[in-house]
Amino acid sequence: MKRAFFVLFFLIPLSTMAGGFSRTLVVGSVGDDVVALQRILNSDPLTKVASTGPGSPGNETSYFGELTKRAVMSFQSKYAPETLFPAGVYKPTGVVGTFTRAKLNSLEKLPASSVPDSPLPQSVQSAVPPLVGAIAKPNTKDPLIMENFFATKSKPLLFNLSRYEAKQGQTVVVNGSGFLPTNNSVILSSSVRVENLSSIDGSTLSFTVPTTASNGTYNLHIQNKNGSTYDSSYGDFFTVADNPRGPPTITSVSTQTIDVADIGKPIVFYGDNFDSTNQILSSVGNISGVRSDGKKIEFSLSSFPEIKKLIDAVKYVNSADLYFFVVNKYGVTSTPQKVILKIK
Amino acid sequence: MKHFFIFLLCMGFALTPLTAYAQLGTGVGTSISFGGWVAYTIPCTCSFSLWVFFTPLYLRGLPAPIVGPLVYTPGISTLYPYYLIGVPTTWELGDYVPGVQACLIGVPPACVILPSIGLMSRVGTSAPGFPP
Repeated sequence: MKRAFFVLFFLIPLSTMAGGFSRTLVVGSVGDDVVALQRILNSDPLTKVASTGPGSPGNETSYFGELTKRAVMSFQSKYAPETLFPAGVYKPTGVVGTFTRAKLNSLEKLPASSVPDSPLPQSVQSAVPPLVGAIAKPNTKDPLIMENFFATKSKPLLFNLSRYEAKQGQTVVVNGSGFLPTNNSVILSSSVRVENLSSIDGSTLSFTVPTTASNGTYNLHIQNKNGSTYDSSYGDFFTVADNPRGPPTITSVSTQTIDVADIGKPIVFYGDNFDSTNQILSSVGNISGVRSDGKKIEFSLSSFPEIKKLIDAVKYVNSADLYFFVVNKYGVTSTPQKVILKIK
Repeated sequence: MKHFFIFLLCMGFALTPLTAYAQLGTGVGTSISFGGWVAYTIPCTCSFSLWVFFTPLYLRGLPAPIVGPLVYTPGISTLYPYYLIGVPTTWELGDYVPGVQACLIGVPPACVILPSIGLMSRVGTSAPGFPP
């Protein structure tokens, strides 16, 4: 452990370049900032550019190639809540854009010996999480292959929609798994179908609400040669209407951090399409019946079932990240809202 | 909740090998060793997995313990004795694949991914009641 710390200390530069990372880096980029990027990536075994040769620790180069791109994707996966979620994406891109640069710049300043102030889950938002019913066993030799390990043999599954109310001609994105490269169908009813849809990643499918879909509610499902997502218990959850409402969205929060002593005080989410009553899903449990005027929703952390266990158990770090979603009849917030709980 | 845990426990038990022993991961490939103390667990109601929050959580390659969640999925994660996956106050040791998101919460068809550090590929547990 001490040896690892010693090596890590020397691999993390205390400062790399004046001003940090300031431009978007992609495959083909050349410069000192690429060298700095590779050094930061090589400081972590999970994001190392290469084990030997150009790009490996001590042999960083000024060229951003495919190996660097792959390492950036691992980096984005590790810090997904900071690098991907704020941009509204789940899959790592391999492009060092605004949010990835911000994280790199923050790591540049971080001394190796510091206790993590915000111990984020080192999470990668893989596009296709595993579910019961998946047939294909993951190929654990390649983390990027893991992203698609449900892809071609599993029955399709429906996770959520980009919107649950839409009008004719409006585009809706279906998020799920088991979608095939071609020949997926979105079915609203026996007479209202959108055929021959393609999915490039196995987990998203876009369709346009056909003009043949009358106003009303439907049990939307996806069908391909591997099966169907139809489940009668879902009921009719997709509405075609002339003036559709979008899903709930959180545009701002009353506080990004909250002290453990203040868990009884209200946190306010501001946004749109909150219903008169809502459910909040979170990483400390769920609460229901949360009232709203449509534009703001107020709750306190003390209401959540697991918050006390978290506070009682956390001793080794200064803070813990909490994630929240709002759910109502108009849908669910697409990306988690983070609030940092300051422990000490 | 209780029945959900019992269901998952039975699934894990049914899929374990006849002989088993805890192993330290070598870090080869994408599985990385971990060990940690379970503070609490969230059932992933859409994905039939468990989102297990550890504090502390030791990950191979990190110089200091952190806190955070890993996900256990029956049929994909291999479970070893004492099979008490996700039970608070147990210590758990195993390997995980970083970055794989395996926990969906909510009620279909409105499920969302609860972020986690990764997916347990194999895990063994202690008996409950140990301090962190």
